Amino acid sequence: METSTPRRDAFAALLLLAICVPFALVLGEIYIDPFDAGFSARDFPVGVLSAIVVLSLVLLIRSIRQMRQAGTPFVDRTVVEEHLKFGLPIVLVGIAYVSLFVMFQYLVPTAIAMSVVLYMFKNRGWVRLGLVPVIASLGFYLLFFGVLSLHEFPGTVVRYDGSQMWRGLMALFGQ
Amino acid sequence: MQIIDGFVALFGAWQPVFFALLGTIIGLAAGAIPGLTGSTTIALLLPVTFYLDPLSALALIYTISKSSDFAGSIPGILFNTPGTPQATATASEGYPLTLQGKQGKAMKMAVIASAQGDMVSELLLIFGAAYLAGYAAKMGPPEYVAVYFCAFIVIASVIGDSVIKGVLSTLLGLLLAMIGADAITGLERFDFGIDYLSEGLSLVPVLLGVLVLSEVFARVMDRTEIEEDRTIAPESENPSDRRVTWAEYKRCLPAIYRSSTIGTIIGMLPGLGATIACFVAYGEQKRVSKSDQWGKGEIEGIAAAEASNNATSGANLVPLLTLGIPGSTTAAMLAGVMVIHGIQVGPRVFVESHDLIYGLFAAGLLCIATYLVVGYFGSGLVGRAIALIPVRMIYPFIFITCFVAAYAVRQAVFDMFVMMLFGVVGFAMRRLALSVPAFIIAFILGHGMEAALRRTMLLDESGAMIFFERPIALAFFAIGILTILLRVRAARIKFRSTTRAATGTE
Repeated sequence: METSTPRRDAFAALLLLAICVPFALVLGEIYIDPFDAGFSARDFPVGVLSAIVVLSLVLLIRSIRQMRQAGTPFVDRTVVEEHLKFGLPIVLVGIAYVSLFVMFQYLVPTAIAMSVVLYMFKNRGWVRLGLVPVIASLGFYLLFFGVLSLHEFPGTVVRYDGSQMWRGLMALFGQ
Repeated sequence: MQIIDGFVALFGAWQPVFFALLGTIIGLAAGAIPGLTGSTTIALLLPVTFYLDPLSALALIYTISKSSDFAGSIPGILFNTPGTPQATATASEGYPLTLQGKQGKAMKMAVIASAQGDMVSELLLIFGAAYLAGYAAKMGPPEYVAVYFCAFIVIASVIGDSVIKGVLSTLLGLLLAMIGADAITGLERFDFGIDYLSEGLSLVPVLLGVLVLSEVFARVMDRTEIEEDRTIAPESENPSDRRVTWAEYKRCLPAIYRSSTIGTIIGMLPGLGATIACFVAYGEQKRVSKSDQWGKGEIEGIAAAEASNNATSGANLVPLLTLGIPGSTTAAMLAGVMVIHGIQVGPRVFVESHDLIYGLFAAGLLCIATYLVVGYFGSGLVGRAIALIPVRMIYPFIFITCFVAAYAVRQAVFDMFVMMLFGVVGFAMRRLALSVPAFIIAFILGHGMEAALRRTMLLDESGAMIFFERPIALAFFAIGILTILLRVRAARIKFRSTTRAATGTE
């Protein structure tokens, strides 16, 4: 685990405050039963949100003060660049993978996404980037959609019935 | 003897035994592969447990956690790369032995000490937990509020280096636990108009994101580890260098029992895990030892570290089974599986699911025996096998498995997006030194805490004054407040000494 620094504290506080915003916006929509005794359905969330906001502000103010005293800049450019260069692409691959899964079902997007992620982890050569993703995707497909009988989300662009393929394969083995 | 009922339940069908043994083998592999921890593997396999009967599901998870605790020592001893954080102390003594060609001796000592530590802890669980649960079953909602409060405060203040960030991580878990139906009225809250959120955030995608996907993100950012190459030093030809001699075992026995006790005590406390236990036991053994070989391959060090870290695994379940409070991430996942299978977590589990719980304990004993045999005779083989697996191939597989595992829960694409979102949140939490375990435990327990609090408020017109009429509740509140005060005091002392040292050097 990383250790706390004023910069990390400041960003942690900002992250938590950002997460609180959508919750705070819909807090008023929680229904309160006028005859409800004791705590209402809104009281506990109000308490938790208030505590997060107060503690985050304390953390933010304290860390900004510490950074000013030490003369530390609020943003470290090299860290930001590192995250944009290596972190952001894998997140984008994840989002693209789910989107392709919706459009083309499991097999093809999985092989493509796996190949891209293998490349990101510095794997090279046609075996690792071509053969391994294809075999692995087929293996996963058989395990999850065959053996464990998951229902495959029907693709919006390409649609195929995986369960038919599985039944055909089992018929080959006489089952 | 109730444990006999457990063995009858375990061996009553082939599935529980099979999954207990499979879990042991998976745990050995998961712990031995650097970067792939027991909790990561359990999170990945959670969707598979939905298709199993409750005992097989629980046995699979429990045995993975147990055997991975031991297996982390294998790469630590062979390559100086601990497979799990709790194997760090083992590596500091084991790797020097490997350089002397004595890796066989080091690994055999590690497995013997692990099994003995684990056995002490498991016996405490088997014979002590039901006794404690008898007392815990008499507690009402006010006592439970106090227990939750105490657990959250202890977990938030002991994990990580900042009390305020530990508390914030806990509060974040509580906030996200409130998404979905209200605990008392069943009315929807914070669903943001999304149907999938009306029943709350699904546990598995959240766990997969925060624990597993965030780890993949962290690894892709860490460029140096991808380059890692592993070679094993040649082993000595002398037979006594390849095994633990009787004299060495006798010398290590006090260390094993002392460290098992330390590990068991630490394991029972919520939030403190195997990593802390192994460093405390290792430090304590180093203090009492007369040897001058520490850091150069002291076998007592391996015995102390391994006995203590495995002694936490059974003890970790004591707060879960007696109070319904998971003290670690693995216990939290076990609680999640119990809830999914409709098993009530808490003291009544010993009455309502008697055979299941003792079956789980029997699976634990079977796991210890299995990893003792496999580890004693096959650690070298496991080591050579993991040396062949390139780390850079593992993470892409984990990445892809995460998505299908998240999808498998409700067969909803929405859960894949939830997992992605929590992968980013988990990664940010790791980078910003927020506590992921505190977040997970609060997320799992949040619903229960709110329900207990609101039931308490309905019990008496005096509102919060009811807590002052309940001595047990007051005691738990006092422990929580005392813990946080002690932690704040320790942090202040550390801050002052650091400031003084900095001023002195200027």
